[in-house]
Amino acid sequence: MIVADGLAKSYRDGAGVGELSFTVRPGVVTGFLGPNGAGKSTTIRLMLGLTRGRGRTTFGGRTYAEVPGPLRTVGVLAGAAAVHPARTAAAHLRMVAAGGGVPPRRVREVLAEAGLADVARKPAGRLSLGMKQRLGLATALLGDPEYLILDEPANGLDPQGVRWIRDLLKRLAGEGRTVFASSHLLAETALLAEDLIVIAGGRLVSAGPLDEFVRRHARADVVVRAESPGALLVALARDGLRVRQEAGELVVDTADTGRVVAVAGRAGVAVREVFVRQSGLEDAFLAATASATAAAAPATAAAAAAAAEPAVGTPATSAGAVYGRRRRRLL
Amino acid sequence: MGRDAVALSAGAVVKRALAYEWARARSLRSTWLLLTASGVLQFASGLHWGLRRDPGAFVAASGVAGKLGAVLVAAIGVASFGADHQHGTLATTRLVLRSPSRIVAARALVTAGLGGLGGVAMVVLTAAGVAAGGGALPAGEGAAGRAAGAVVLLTVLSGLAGVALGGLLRHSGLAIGVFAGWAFVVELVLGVVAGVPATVLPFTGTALFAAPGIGAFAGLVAVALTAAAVGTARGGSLG
Repeated sequence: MIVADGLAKSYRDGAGVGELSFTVRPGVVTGFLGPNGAGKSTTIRLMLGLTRGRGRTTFGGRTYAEVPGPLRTVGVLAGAAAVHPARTAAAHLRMVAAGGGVPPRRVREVLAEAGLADVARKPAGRLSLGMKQRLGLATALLGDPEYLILDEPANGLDPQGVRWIRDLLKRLAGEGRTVFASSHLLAETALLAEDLIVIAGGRLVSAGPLDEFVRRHARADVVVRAESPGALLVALARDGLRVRQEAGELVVDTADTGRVVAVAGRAGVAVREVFVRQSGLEDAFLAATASATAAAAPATAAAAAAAAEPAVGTPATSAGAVYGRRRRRLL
Repeated sequence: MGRDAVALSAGAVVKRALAYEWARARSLRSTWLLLTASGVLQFASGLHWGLRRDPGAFVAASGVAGKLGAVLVAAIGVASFGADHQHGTLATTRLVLRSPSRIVAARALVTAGLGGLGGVAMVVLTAAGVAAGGGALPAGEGAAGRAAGAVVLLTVLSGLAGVALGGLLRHSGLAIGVFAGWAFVVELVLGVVAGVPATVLPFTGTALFAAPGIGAFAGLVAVALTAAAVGTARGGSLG
C-alpha cells in the first residue's frame, strides 16, 4: 500500500500542490489523472522526495528514503528522455543495476521484457521516443519492485506499445504489486485503471474506484427514438425537461426513462426505443476538473498573495480551506 | 518481487554507490577520450623535449602539458554532474543513491581514481616520449620525482575540482571554462600583476609540487565538494 499524506508544495507563482492525501492499494492499477499543469509530476516528485515540500509518502510503511533497497522496492519512471544520449541502453541499465544491487542477469531480462534486446547496444540518443520510454520502463522494472510509480508510461508509445504497457501493468498489478501511473490519456486510463486519483489545480478532486468516479461525475441522458420526434420534443419541453435533437433521436437531460415514456404516452407519441446513455471517463473528468479548476483559481491568487506577504497566513492554510469546500461540492 | 528486507550495512551502501559511479564513468566514451588525450598530449610533450636532448627534458615535458592534461581530467569530473544536469539523469542518480553526500563522495572517489590513473599514465607516457625522442631520463628521484608527483597530484585534485564545479555550476561548458580560466588566467594575473608567489597558488603551486599550493588546492576542493553536496541536497529531501 502506498500512503500519501498531506503532500504540499508551493511555488512563487502560486502553482504547486496542496495537502494531497490518498492511498494506492495493491493488486490494481491506479490511474493518476489531471489536466496539464495540475501538479501530477510535482506530486510524484514529492512522493519520492525528489522535490522539497511538505507531507510524507510511505511504501509499505516506509518513505522512499527509508526503504532498505530502493530500486528493489520502488520502481520509478520519472521521464523517458532522462538517459545520457551517448550511453547504450544496456549500459544505462547496468549502471542502475550496479547502484541498486541488482544482479546483472536482470539487465538482459528487462531488456527482453521491454522489447529492447535488439537495440541494447545502441546509444540512447539514437533511440526513438517510444524506445526511450521502454528503456525508462525497463529501468523501473529492473529491481523487480513491489511498488511502481510511473509518470506518463504510455507517452510516446505506438499503438502496439500502448497495448504492451497496458498488458504489462495489468499483469504486474495482478501479481499483487502496487501500480501508480499518471496519464493524460483518458481512454487509455479507462482501459487500464481500476482506481483513479484525480487532481486539478494542485488539489485532490477524487480518489477511489474509477467506476464510482464516472458514476459520480458523468452525465446521464435518456435517448429516445419516436414516431413523431417533433411532437415529443414539444411535449418533453412542456414537462420542464431540457431536450435536444441529435440526428433523428431526442436526447433528454435526465436519467429517468419512466418519466420520458410517460410524457410520450400522454402526448400520444409512439416510442420505438428508449435507453439511458451514460457518458464516459472523459466527460466525467472534464466535469470534475472544470469545477475544481474554477474553485482553485481564487486559491491560487490567494497563495500568490500570501507568498508575496509572508507575514499574513500561509498558502497551505488557504489551500486547505479551498480543498474542504471542493470536497463538499464534488465528492 | 525482489525486496531488500533489512537495512544494508554502510559498507554495502558505499560499495553500491561506487559501483554505480564507476559504471557511469566507464560507460561514457568521453571519459576514455579525455584520459587518452591527456596521455597523448604528455607523450607528445616528452617526445618534443626528448628530441631537444635537454637534460631536464622530463621535468620540462611535465610542465605546461601536465597542466593541460589536468584540465582534461577536470573535464571528466565536471561531466559527472554536468551531464546529469544536461540530460536530466540526476533524478535517476538521486533515486538510486539517495543521499547527496553519498553521490558527491562516490563521484569524488571514482574521479580521483581516474585522475590518479590518468596522472600515472601521463608520467609514464612523458618518460616514454622523452625516451622515444632520444632524451635521457633522470636517474635520481629529486626534481623528476617531484615533477611526477606534481602531475599525479594535479590530475587528482583537478578531477575533484571538476566534480565540485560541475555540481555547483550545473553546466559543463561553464564549469570547464571557470576551471581553465582560473588555472591559466586568474593565477597568471595573481602571480604577475599582484605578485602572489607561485608556490601558494592552488593550481600553479601544485604543479610545482609546493606544499602551500597543494594545501590551498586541497582546501578549496574540500570546501567546493561540501558546497556541491549541500547544493545537491537542496534539490530534494532524499537521504
